[in-house]
Amino acid sequence: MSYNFTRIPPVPSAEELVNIALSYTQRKTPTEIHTSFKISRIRSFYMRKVKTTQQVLHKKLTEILERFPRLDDIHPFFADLMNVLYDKDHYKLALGQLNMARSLIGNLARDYTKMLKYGDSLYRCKQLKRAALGRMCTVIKKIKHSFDYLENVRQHLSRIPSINPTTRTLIICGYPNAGKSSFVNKITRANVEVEPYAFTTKSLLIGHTDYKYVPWQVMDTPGILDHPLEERNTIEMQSITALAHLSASILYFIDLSMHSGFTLEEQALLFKHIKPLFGGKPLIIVFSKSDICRFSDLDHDAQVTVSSMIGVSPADILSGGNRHFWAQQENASEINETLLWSSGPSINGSSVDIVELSTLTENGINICKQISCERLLALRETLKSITRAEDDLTSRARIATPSTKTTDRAPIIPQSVLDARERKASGMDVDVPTRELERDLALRLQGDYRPTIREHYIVENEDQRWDIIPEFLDGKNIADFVDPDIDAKLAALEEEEAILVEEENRMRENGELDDFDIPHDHHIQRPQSEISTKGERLKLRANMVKEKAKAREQKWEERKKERYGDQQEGDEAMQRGRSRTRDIDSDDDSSSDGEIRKKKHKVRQGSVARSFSATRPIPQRSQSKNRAAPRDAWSLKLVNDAVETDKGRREEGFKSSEDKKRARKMMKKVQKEHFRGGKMGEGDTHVDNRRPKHLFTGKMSLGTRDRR
Amino acid sequence: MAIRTQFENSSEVGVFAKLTSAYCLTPSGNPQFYSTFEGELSDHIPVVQATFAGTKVIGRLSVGNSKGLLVPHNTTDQELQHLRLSLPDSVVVQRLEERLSALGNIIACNDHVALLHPEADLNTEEIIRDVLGIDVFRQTIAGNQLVGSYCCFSNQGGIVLLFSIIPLFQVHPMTPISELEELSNLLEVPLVAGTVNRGSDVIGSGMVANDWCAFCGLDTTATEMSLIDKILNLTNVAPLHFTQLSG
Repeated sequence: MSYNFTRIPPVPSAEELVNIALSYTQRKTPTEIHTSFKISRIRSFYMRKVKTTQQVLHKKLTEILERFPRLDDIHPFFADLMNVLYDKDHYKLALGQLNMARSLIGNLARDYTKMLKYGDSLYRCKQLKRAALGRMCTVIKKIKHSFDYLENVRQHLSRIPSINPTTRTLIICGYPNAGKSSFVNKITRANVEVEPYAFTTKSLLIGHTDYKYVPWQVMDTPGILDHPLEERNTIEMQSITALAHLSASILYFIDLSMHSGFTLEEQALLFKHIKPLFGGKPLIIVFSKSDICRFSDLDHDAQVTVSSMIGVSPADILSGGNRHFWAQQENASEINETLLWSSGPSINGSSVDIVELSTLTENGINICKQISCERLLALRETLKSITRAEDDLTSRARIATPSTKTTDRAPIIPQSVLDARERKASGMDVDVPTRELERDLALRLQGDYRPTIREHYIVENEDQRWDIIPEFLDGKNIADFVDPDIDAKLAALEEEEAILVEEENRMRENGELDDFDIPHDHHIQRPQSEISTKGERLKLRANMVKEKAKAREQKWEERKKERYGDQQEGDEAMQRGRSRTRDIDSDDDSSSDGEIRKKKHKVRQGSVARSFSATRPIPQRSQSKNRAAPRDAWSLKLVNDAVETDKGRREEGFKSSEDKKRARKMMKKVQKEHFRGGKMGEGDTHVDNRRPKHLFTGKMSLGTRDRR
Repeated sequence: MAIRTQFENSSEVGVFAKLTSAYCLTPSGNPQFYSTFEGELSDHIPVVQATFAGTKVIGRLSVGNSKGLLVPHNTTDQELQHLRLSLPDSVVVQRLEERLSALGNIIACNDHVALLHPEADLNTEEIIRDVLGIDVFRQTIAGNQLVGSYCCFSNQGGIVLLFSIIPLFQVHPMTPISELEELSNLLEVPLVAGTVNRGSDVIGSGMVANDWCAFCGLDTTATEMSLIDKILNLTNVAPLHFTQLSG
């Protein structure tokens, strides 16, 4: 979790913001308006201005509100740091005012656009706009101080070094002028300012160092004086914030030489007062300036004062405590030299080590770094393992378990699986040869690979495996005839057969059955006779049907004769009918006879249509049967006519068929050239004028070319 | 531990494979995918390459358990014959005439109980009961009727969808939890709400499982995997033949 407070965009001052909004409105909205314009146009002109101004202000304010960190959302360390530096209440108030202004401006814009709807003249509309814009600007100007304050906050925030509150960190704290910054300069390249007076460091400073190939943050804090929390100033409070919120190794610096101007008592007292902040963190007490004064050099009282800080006697400190805790380290001998005392393994994350170092002689600096880093690494490791245990899903996911359980619902796991698991667990599966998988086969055979399908079939006899199973037989889908019980049925049948045979044999043995009896079996004989009689019966029926049909035909013929007289009369009648229709065709007005009209209609509609289907068979039939049954005199006649005219037209104008053939040849010859060129005919699409003048002349202003 | 795999660059393993305690089906024509299952399972159960009506989405089209297999009505005779020849006789293979022919989507089952789409045919219910030999309950999961898509359970446990992304109707905030309990009582297995394939809620399409192993999509995260292992009782059970393949 890292925050980048440098990304907050600059906050304009109130005047700047007003200028931005107004000039944007001026630039981005139309500026020309006349009293002669329609009132609706005038209204919308001013409404647009009001809305644009509101939108710009809204956008700017929203940007500010969104980019400033919300104290509730960020890491508590930053929240507290910002509280210390900028005062939480003031910060929230400023942002709240911006938010308020945003909604006020929104309301204003809404009200004034509503009023503008009723503006009845340009002047009034303009006054309304002026009022709206003016009030919006007033709202902004009223919270001028908030803008200034936020800009200051932004500038200060962007100067805070980027601190990652969750990473590996060493915090260096202690009385002013105890040598904290010098130490930071020694182990990092932060180049922190070092001066021989108190409160040189006025804010949190960050340096970075490497230990065990991972980066570490080293945080230099301003010195802390020993007085109650309420009396602490902002500079001190930053240190307190860091100590309180960051899970880090804490290096408490004590100047045993008292060159800093603070007594050992004062430093010990401060330690006691801020001790609650060290709970659960590795603590390293650093006796700095060891080149001037070491713990062993102090007089007894001073030693007691110092050792009482951690509740042990001076003798204990001089004996080294659990210094052997570090014996595992590679440079154990070096550690022994500078590590004064150790509390040994940490309890609940807390541990105390006392180190002497000198930034001047660089004695003990690396050991100090090593010890504090090792302590923190160990702590983080334990914390992680604890979190991992808590990470167990059962503690987070809700698992619904059935309240009742039927007993016989055991999981179905084949014994072979259990055996295989056991073999695997006991490591016995190593010598099991790995089977060639389908994938391996495909890779090995490449193009020759065919999927193994039949190899896996479960068949009773191995010789059935490769049997060809036809899908279709004699045009029938075999699957439709597959009966799963076919074997059982066959077996039943065979059994029945066997019983019958057995019975027959028995009967024959007993002489109940005559050898010649079998063909004379009653059941077989009877159908034979039935079949022959049935044949005769069918023949008879067929004859009857034929005769019936003949009789019907004769009857029909007679009826026709009744209607049209005999054959000749019929022809005449047809002749008459035709001449009639021709009359009608040539001279429509002359006829008023409804009956004729009807007949003509019939000729045109029904008979012609029917003629196509009836054309061919009818003449044949009339020839063969000597015109015995003209089915429909009208249609027949017409069909004959049609055939005749068709023929006549084809032969028309030619003396002989040779002439005709020649003419056709010539026609083809003439057309050949035309067809070869694939020239455009009347059936082809043709556009007279591809660029009609009226569509391509005249002026066009930009963006109006839409004539299609 | 569940095995991650994918079919032709798709993590929807449940779409393309069907796994029960008695057999495993994978689509024809993909030896890579087939071998993932083959390596792990073929010592114990038949792993069959199959198609239904020529399609590869066999996991969504069929439903089955150790006693039977129901295939969609448009399965061809040859496909059916192939299945019958490949599966042991104890597994009844039968076509199911159902309007909603993606049987894997509308039915979810283990060896004892099945959930069925509320709008499925009456006959379907009866056939499931007869062929698969199990109790059938018409149910929805978090308002979704496609019960087969939104859950995956074995005889040991299962994962279901907890909240529908599109709330079909207003429900009491506690309903999903109580629904989870209700489903759990119905199926008589422990249930947990979860996802597969990096947050996909179509659990039935994303994974297949039986009582001793599970296969999920390659996108499945470690957290999802641990939940799957936990609920299907596969924790500390290493794959027998670890043949993790990619596609």
